[in-house]
Amino acid sequence: MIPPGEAIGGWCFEDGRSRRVRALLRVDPPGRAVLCEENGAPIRESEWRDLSWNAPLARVPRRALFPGGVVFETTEVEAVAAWEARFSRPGAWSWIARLERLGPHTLLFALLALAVVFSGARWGVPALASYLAERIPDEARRQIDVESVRGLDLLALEPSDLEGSEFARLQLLFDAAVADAGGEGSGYRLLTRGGGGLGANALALPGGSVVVTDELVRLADSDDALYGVLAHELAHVERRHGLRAMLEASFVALALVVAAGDASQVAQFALTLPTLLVTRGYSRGHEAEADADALAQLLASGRDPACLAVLFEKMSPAARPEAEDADSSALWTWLSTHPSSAERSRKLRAASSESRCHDAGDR
Amino acid sequence: MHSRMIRRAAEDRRAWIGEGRRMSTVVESGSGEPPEPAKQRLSFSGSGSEYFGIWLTNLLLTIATLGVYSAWAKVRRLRYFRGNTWLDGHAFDFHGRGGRILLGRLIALALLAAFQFATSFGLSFGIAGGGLLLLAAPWLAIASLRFRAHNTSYRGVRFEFEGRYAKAFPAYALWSGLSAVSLGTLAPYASRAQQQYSIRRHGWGGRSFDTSVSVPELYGAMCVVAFAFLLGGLLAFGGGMFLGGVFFEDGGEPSPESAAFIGFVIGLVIYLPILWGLLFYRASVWAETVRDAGFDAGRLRFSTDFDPGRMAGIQLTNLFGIVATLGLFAPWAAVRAARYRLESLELTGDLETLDLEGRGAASEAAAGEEIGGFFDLDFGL
Repeated sequence: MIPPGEAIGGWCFEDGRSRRVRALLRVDPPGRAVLCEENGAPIRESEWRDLSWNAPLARVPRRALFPGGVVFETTEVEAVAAWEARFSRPGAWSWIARLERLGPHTLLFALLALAVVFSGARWGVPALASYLAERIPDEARRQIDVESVRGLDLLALEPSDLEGSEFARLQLLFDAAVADAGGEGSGYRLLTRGGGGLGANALALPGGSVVVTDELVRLADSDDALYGVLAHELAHVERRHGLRAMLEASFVALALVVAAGDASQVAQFALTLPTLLVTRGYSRGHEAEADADALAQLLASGRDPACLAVLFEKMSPAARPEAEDADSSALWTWLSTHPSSAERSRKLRAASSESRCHDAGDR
Repeated sequence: MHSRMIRRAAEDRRAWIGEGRRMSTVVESGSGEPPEPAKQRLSFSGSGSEYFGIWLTNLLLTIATLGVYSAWAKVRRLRYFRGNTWLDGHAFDFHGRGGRILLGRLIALALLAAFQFATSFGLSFGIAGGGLLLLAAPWLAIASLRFRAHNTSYRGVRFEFEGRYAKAFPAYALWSGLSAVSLGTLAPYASRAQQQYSIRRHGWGGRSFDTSVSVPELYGAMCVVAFAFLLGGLLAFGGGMFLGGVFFEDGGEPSPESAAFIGFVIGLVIYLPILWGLLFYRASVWAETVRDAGFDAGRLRFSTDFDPGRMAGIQLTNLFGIVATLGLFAPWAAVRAARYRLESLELTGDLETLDLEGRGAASEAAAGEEIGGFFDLDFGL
């Protein structure tokens, strides 16, 4: 605390000129600011309330503009704060500067920030993405499908070589799955392709196109398994998972760029890893939802969920019940886009009353 | 109204110089006959823990105001970093106002969202969006360099930036486009065009800055980057073969879990050297820019012992610290990088004898009036 009449040191400029002179500032009660050179020669005098000070911030120098364009700059930030408290009403920035100083409240702030960031990532982003995804027009969704199929055909997939009868069987199952899900007239469309690098796989695109690879059709030896796969993919479309994933990835990337305060291309590249780790979590959530829908639909239409489990086990050895240590890979499941195969398979088998399908081990 | 204010300020100024003639003698008596020009290093007085409090408050207030405070948060952040950067007993200062930054951010956000959304519709939309963005890039660069310069001051005088779209076009659109089309092999030419344009258009108190960037030096840095990329590729290939052998020695199909694991390891092995390479190149451009920079036709000269490799290392470990602490390390990371960058800079020449006159540091209202207009927005997120 500076006693009345005591002066603080600093520099004085004419505003807009780099030439400087050492100066002293004191405030005489009831609020008269006196600026003079070190030898006592007066420079300026003014009422305290007529000075315009920059906002307080940590130990950053304070700067006052005197009426008429003389600037006083000082590192004595505590003295200036004390004068402000005494001679003027502290503004909002003094209050914020106090919040910014470390103290017991900082710990509370840190916990609050962690809680907000965690719940924002866990619930906020998915909720917002889901809200927006519901409002994207159908025409836009179909356009995404057209472009996506073009890209997939160019980069990953090959023309289908399924025989007519195989395709007809799949189309019948697809129509049944669409009808059971109550989705007739919603623009659902079945496409078959050679899997290429993707192998046995099925994809749902936002506009309602479901792509099934020949390899998957041949690997599945029961209608119930194929029906389950189609129900799973239709659930992705119905719940707008594709759109939601796009929006979620954009939100996370945007939030990280804003938090990092750097939108350069290097920063955007650096943030791909954190973005990936977060969005993988969303993806597993989407898969779990689609699995649950598919299971419900399998049961409702009187089909056997265990048949889908058998298909999963054929696709992934780790999903087989006899796999010696199904949990050994649990550490890495958080990197995966899908829930663990063993877990998915176990859930399906638990829901099946009597198995009609053969175990993968018997083939 | 405005001109009257300026005139009044000028009269006041004359009056003060008249009564304080000692001031100039004080300034000049110290210099005597200078045998060799003085060398001064920049110093940075910020601390991670102090900035942590500011960063955290910024974060919480931004969340509490649904993002609106982020503009003022940026002002606090830039003021903290400028205000803790010292040269010859004076700190730099930042005068940007939150309202303008907020407007700039809303526009930037709309552009970014439109671009993101357009790309998700497909390649042709993405290319069209990218082309538009490239055409807008010089304009955005000018707006944001101008905003930064006009709102930064040292010794009570604001910096200046004068840019025209036509002059900025080669640096920010033509060369960037060529660099992208050439898959980065022309990047040094783009970097040189941008850095020279940006530095030479900057001024302080009516005098201008200058620099010359050497393209061969930048190609030298590119060689290091290429080596890092190559190393990443080799490590990824070798690692993939090795892990593939470990996981699939029975010749079975890969399970999604082990595929995800292998994918992650390969991704990380490629990601880290590429990121290091990008950081190294960016730091090299900065080093090359300040290495030969000067002010006022060489009256002040910059020099640096900045090591781009060390900077890339600092930034890479910063990223790990940030990920490992769920972001809480970010303030220390920012201070660490700023300190290394700033404290590697040295200035040769006598600042004291420069008697510069420019736009004032404190006259916010007048500056706002005069600069004004739509261009003075900050597009940097």
